[in-house]
Order: sequence, then structure tokens, then C-alpha cells
Amino acid sequence: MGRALGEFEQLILFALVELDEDGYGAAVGRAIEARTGREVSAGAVYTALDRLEVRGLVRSRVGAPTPERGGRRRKYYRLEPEGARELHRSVAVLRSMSAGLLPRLADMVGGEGA
Amino acid sequence: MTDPRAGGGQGHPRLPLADRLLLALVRGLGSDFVVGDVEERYREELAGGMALGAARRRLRRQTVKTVGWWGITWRRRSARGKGTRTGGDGMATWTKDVVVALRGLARRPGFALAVVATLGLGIGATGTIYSVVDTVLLRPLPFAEGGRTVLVGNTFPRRVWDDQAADLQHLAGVSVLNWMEYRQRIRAFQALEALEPSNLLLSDVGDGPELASAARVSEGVFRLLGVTPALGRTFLPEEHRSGGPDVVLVSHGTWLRRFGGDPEVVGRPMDGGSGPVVVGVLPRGFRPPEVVFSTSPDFLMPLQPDHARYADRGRRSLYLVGRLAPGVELATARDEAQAVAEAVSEDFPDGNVYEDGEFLGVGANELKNATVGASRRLLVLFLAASGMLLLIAALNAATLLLARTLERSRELGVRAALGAGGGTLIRLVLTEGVLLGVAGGVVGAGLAYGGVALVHRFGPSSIPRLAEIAVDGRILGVTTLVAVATGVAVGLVPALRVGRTPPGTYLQGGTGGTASRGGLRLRGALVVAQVTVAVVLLSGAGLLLNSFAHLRAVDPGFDPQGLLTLRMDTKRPGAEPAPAWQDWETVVAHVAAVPGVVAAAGTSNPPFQDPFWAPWVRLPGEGAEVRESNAGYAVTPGYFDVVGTRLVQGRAFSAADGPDGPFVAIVNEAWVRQRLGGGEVLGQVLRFTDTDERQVTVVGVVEDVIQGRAQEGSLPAVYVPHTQADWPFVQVVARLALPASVVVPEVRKALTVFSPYVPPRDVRTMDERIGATRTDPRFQTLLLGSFASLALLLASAGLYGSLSHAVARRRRELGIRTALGAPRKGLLAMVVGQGVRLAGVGLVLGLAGALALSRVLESLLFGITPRDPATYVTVSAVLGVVAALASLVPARRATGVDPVEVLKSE
Repeated sequence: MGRALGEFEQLILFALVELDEDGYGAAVGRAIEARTGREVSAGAVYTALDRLEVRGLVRSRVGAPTPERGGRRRKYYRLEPEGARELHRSVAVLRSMSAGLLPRLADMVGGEGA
Repeated sequence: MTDPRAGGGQGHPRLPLADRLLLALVRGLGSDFVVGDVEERYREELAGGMALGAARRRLRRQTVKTVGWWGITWRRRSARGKGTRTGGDGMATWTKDVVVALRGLARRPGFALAVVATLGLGIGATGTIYSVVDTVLLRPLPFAEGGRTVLVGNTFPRRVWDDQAADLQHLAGVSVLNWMEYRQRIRAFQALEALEPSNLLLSDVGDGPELASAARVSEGVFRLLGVTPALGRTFLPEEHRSGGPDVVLVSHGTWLRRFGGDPEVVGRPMDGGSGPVVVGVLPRGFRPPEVVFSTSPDFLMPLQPDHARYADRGRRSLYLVGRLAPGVELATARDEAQAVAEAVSEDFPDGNVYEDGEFLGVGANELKNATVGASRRLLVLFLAASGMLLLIAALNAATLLLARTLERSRELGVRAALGAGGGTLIRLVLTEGVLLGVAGGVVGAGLAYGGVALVHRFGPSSIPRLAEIAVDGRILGVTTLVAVATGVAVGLVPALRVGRTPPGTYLQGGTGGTASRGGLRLRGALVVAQVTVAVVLLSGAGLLLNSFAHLRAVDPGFDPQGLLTLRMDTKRPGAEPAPAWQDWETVVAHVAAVPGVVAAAGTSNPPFQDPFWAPWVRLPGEGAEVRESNAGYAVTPGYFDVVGTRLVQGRAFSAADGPDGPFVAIVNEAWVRQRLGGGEVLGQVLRFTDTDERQVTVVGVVEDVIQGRAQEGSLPAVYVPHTQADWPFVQVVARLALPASVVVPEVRKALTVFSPYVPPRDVRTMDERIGATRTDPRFQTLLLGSFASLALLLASAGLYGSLSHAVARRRRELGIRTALGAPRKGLLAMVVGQGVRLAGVGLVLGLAGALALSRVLESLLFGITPRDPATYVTVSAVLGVVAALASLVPARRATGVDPVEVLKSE
């Protein structure tokens, strides 16, 4: 087991959970943007996916060329069981740490809902 | 957002070229998936109703970010090794690309060298000029809070100056008493400190006495400018009072030069115990505001405002530097200062209010603006010129790269046929472009260092902040960026071509086909563009050169050959006080007696020096409303003979024109034209308002003599006998029969008899004096001229290369033509005609551009208009000749094609 997941890696892994079999770069970026409103660059997504693949958390396969992208191929990524476990563990850590503290945190940031 | 796969392939607007270039760049980096993603999202956003502009902006942002990401993570990922790669489609191929590209370049060293030299030249020129612009215009002044620091001074009523920057007011010195009032009353300034140029006479130095440059400064100057001494301390309050201890601060340079950098100097008196005590050494690199001191003073002394010599409000000897109070704008400060000036004038009318009731105002300029204002346009012009040179260099390099790509089409075709994707080929060509760009950047950075050294050496002192100019990291960063951008841009042109062409094309014979015809057209366009820009530069340089020739041809109104000038102060320590005019005669007599001096005379001002004295000259009946300021000169009787100025009417001065009158004057022809409209002048009565109201009679007229600089034309001037003026120094002009190098030491020796302690200053031949007034136009002409020559060279090289290439491609056709009996002459004319046609199109476009742009040169020109036809005709002729020469060599090669050989190679 490697080091703990970073926030961006968490976002990517969650996107793969959502996309199931359809997780290629643009779809991952779209999913993250849709849920967080944060614009991510394709390069950043691929770099992170590449890194996650090295750690054995995701696996890639190259798809068939598609016409809507000028005949270019897609590279699909799927969450590996090890990746799912790692993501789950990382969320659990965050959840147990934040348990009961969110209302106070909300006070501190000026009443915005937790 | 819609389903990504529902977008379909049809109905999308074609991507603009810039965006396709960006995508090609990403593709060149070898990430097909990423490009696909970026493009897919772009199309999808358009389909989803996003505005075209917004989608494009996003696309660009995405692409740039993506490229940035690859760059950042490349090292990390390539360091991790190839074992982790999931396909052959990543950054690990970069190193391979670089090796392949280097190998390819090494096979064609001439080509690589030409591109690197071309790019280096353009980048070096731009880097040099950018260094100057960056220092002078962009960097803040080297003082604490330089941006809020202002120069403050008196303004004269009813005078309008035509300054280049509308923001600048013309400021004069301020008297000590007024300064103290302003300082107390003007709230807009948080601080208002004073500096006064001065001298320090040092007697016990190795080579005789020396008059060192110095400045008196008020107590708060050091805090205002943010200076702390490198050694010792600044001045104490009691040292700023009259009769206080005699102390100085030494500049860092003077400390090293005069005291050998000895720290023990601090606390000791100079001049063997009799001089002022050195209390501190200023930090290295510090210089007081250069708008006040054109050369940095060697010594600083405490200003003593209560000293008796400052009791006169008419003695406006201080320059004020202030800091705007927090939140106060310059315009607000100006308004308040002007109101305070009015109040001060009311309270103390003496020396502040003119005879017609107008009063002395106060104005303020941002210190930086005051320092660099006038040079801004010139520097921007130089920057534009260097940018044009860079443009030509880039176009030229693109031509070379394009030619190489076309020549390599067979090699690339083979690679493509063997399975290399379009991306790989583009990447290869692109890598080459980047490598060449970086190499050009390195060469350019080296040239920029050399260029800045040249600017230091030969740059006119009118470039402000000259001493501060240096190539620094930021500038190298900019140059490198320019280099790589050029490399990438240059690489992309051929890369896109290869990417667009079906691989089969390259294999169907390398000598014909549509691809090469398109290539020729593109090259033709590149050549035309180079010629166009070169013509613009040539025209600018031609105008300056022509103007410089006019400047040199101006009749100076005297004979400058073999004329020596020097300035001698008549105030001598320890001598009996005598009327200044008697000292003048003594000094002139000493110089005239030196062997090798044919004749000598004295004047308050030699030619080619801005007049020190500019009295208001009034005719009878003219009152206070006439403020006609003319150049005024005091001269000894032999002056006009010695300098060789012709007397047009009346008589010259003689020994009979004594100090007690009758008071007489000589005027020049310009004065007669302007003040009298050419009417009768001898016997005309004048008054000089700034001396006294005595009646002065005009007894003669002389021809016009150049005053400050030839550019200014002939201005009205009046001359008075030296006996009837009171000048504390005399400027001697001496006609020499021997070289100045022989005479000058003897003159110096002779003058020690007059004044053993104070040496003559400004000992220069008239030629040197004239040369100094021409350094600006000479530098401008030289700079633009060398840019233009390089541009012409590059453009003609481009033309030559393009034609050679065309001839090589048409070898077969030319061979067949020869075999069919085409005349040699016809072939020659065909190729030369092609070159001249290209050059002609460039010439027409360039002349149009030059005419449109020439207005910016207007203020630099003398004697010609920006549309001077002779210049443009000359430029066209020069270009025509160069174009014909550049075409001739390839044309001769065309006629030398041997048909047998051509057909054999088929």
C-alpha cells in the first residue's frame, strides 16, 4: 500500500465509480466539473490516472477510434478492486476525523452549511 | 450537457488556425488521447449551446494547461523509467526525438548554423534593446518608493513648453527661503527635501588641484531616498547649520579611486588635514536623481539653509525631491502646490513676483517620468525596430526549415510508409524547431550581453539611467521565451504541412507534385514578407541617415577647424579681487602667448554650447508684456576674427568699448529678421531687462552662428563687449597652428601662472564639442542603420535561398528547355525576373508601410520631411540592386544545367 490519496486523486476515483465502464479522460473531467464546478485540464487528469495505474488502483484499455473526436482513440480507465478499497479507506479516514466537528467548522467559516 | 457520443461529426465550425496550431502542438507531444478529449469537449460544448467565443477560450486554456502539465511532469515520469508505460505513446519518446533531431541536424551543419545564427541575431538585437527599455522605462527608480517620489520645482508664468510627454511640467530651481515655506505649507507632500549642485576644491592631489563635483543636500534626503551609508554616518543636525563642522560624505566610486577603499578614511579630514572631514561612504551603486545631476557627484555636503548666501529669494539653486503623502494623487498635489506658491508670493513678493504682477508657480512631476519622459518614444521606436529584425529572422528561419522539410519529403515519406504516425513526424520536425530555437536563444543571449556592453560604451548620455542598464535574469528569461516561441512557430509551419499531406505523396517522386508547388508559393510569401519588413527598416534608416547628412552640412557660421576651447574660472582663492573683465583679458593673454596659438579671444559661451545667458531684449516702447528671450554673449574684441564669423554690417567691438560706456551691442542676422523684420538696425536702441535698464546701441551685425545644436536652426542672438558684462568665468577660444595634443599641455602650464589652484575646465577642441552635440543622431542612425543592414542581408539571403531552391526543383524542366534550344539569356531573365518580381511586391508593400509609419520619425529628422522622396528612391534602388544580385547566382546555376545529366538521372 502506498501513500494516502490526494484530494484530486479522490475526485478522479469517485468519477470512475460514477462512470463505471465509460471512464475516459474527457468523461472524468466532465464528471468532476459537473459535481465540483472545478475546471480540470486533460493533462492533469491523464497524469493522475497514469500515476494511479502505476499504483495498481486503476487499469486502462484503449478503445476503438470514434468519429466525434476526429477519429482519435479513447483511453478508458476502470477502478480496480484495490483502488476501490483505497478510496473507501481514505473517505473513512476523513469521515471519522470530521465526525461531530462539521457544525463547529461551519461556524468558523461564517455560517456556510457543512 | 448532452451525451458526448450524440454530438456527431457534422455541422461543426472549422477550428480557427490558432486553435489548430495549439492542438497540433499537443499532438506533437504524442498524446492522441488527450487531444481527442480536448477536441471532443470543445465540440460538445458548442453542440450544448455554449457561445463560440467562450468555448474557444476554454479550448485554448485547456490546451495551454495540458501542455504545461506535460512539461511539468515529464521529468518525473521519464525518470520513473519505461517499465511503467502502458503504450508507446508518452513522454519517454521525447529523449529519442531529441537524439534523432540532433543527429539530423548534425548531418546538415550548414543549415543548422544558418538557422541558429539568424535566430540568434534577431533575438540578440531584441534582447539588447529590451534590456535598455526594461531598465529605463519599466524598472522603478532605485530609490525607496520610487513610484511616489516626485520632482518639485518653480514654474514661470505664461511660459508654455512643448514637452513630449503631456504629463511633464518644465521645472526650475527653487530658492532656499521658498523651499522652507513650501515644505511647511504644502500638505500633499509627506517629505520635501532639497539638493543643490556644487563643487569642492581639493588642492593636495597628485596631479595638481582638482575641482570635484559635489552636492549639498538637506537633512531628510537620505531618509527620503532610502539610503544608508556603507560606512560611517549621514550628517548631523548641527552640521546643517551655518558655521557648523566642515564635513563630507564620499561616493563609493570616489572612495575606491581617491582613498583606495581604505575604511580608516572615515573620521579623518581630507587634503592633509585642512579639508573637510569624511564622515561616511555612500553605498555602491547609489546615485542621486540623475535628472538633477547628469553626472553623479563625488561628494555630498550638508545644505546649510541659514547660510547668508541663501538670503536672496532670486537665487533659485535648489532642486526639490518630494514624496506624495499617502492617498494623494499627483494632480491634487500640483493644485495644492500652485495655491501655496501664490500665497508665498503674496507674503514675500521680493524675487517671487514679476514686474507685471505675475508670480512664480510650483509644479511637480513624477520623478521617473521626469527622468525618462523624453526618451520614451525613442526607446519604443528602437524596440519596434529590433522586433522587426526578429520578425525577419523568424521568417528567414521558417524559410530555411520549410526548405529542409520539403527536401526531406522522401525521408519522411519512407518513415510514414514504415508506420510512423503523422504525430511522430510532426513531433520530429517540431523537436528540431525547438532545438534550433533554444540554440538561437543561447546565441542571442550572448549577443545581447555584447550589445548591452556596446550600448554602455557608445550610447549617448542622453539615454537616461544608462549606467543602470544590464542584462539580467528576467531579460534572459524573455529572450529564451522568444527563442522557444520562435522555434515552435517556425517548427509548426512545416510540421502542419507534413501532417496534412498523405504519405503516398512523398513517395511519388520528390521533384514534382502539388505539395512542392504549394511549398514554393508559401516560400514566395515568406520572402515577400521579409522584403517588406526590410524595406520598412531601410526606409527608416535611410531617413535618419539623410537627416544626419543634412545636419553635418549646416553652415556653422564660423570655422571650427583647429579651434581649441576651454573654460577658466576667474574667482581665485587668495588673489586680489579685480573686475571680471580684467581677469578675462589676463587669461586670454596667457593663452595667446603660448607657442602654437595663432590668436585667442574670450567669450561667455563658445558655439555648440547652450547659451548660459538668455536676457529678455526689449525695443523702445516695449513693456513688461514682451518676454522675448534671446541668446546673449559677452565677447572680447578679437572674438569674431578668431572664430571666423563674418561681420555683415557696422563694426566689431574694440578696446574703446569700456566698462563705463557708451553701451553697445552686436546682433546676428536672425535677430534682425525676427525682431526688426529686416529693417534698419545700426543705431537701434535696446534694453536687457535682467541686468539693468541702461540703453544699449546696436553697432554691428554678424552672420548667424550655431548656438546649442545644429538642429535648432538660427536663433536670434545679441553680443555685448566683455567689459560691459560681469561674468565669473571666461571661455577661451584659440586658433591653433599646431595639433591640440602639442598645445594643450603648454596652455595648461601657462594658466597655472594665472591660477595655481583652479585648473581650466572643459578643455576640448571645437571638433570634439561639435561631435558631442551629434552623439544622439549618430547613435540613432547607427542603430537603425545596422538593424536595416542586417534586415537587408537576411531578406536577400531569403530571396537567394528561395530562388536556389526553385532552380534546384526545376532542374529537370530547365534541362529539357536547354535541350530544346532555349536561349541562355532567356533562362537567366526568367529566374532573375522571378526574384525581382518577389522583391518588387515586397518593395511596394514595404514602401506603403514605411510611408504609413514614417510619421513617428518626424521629431528626429532635420532638414527633410518623413516623406522625403530622395530617400525612398534610394531605398528602392538599393533593394533593386541587392535583389538582382541575390537572383543572379541561382540564375546562372539555372543556365548551367546540363540536359544530358538531368535525363540520365531520371
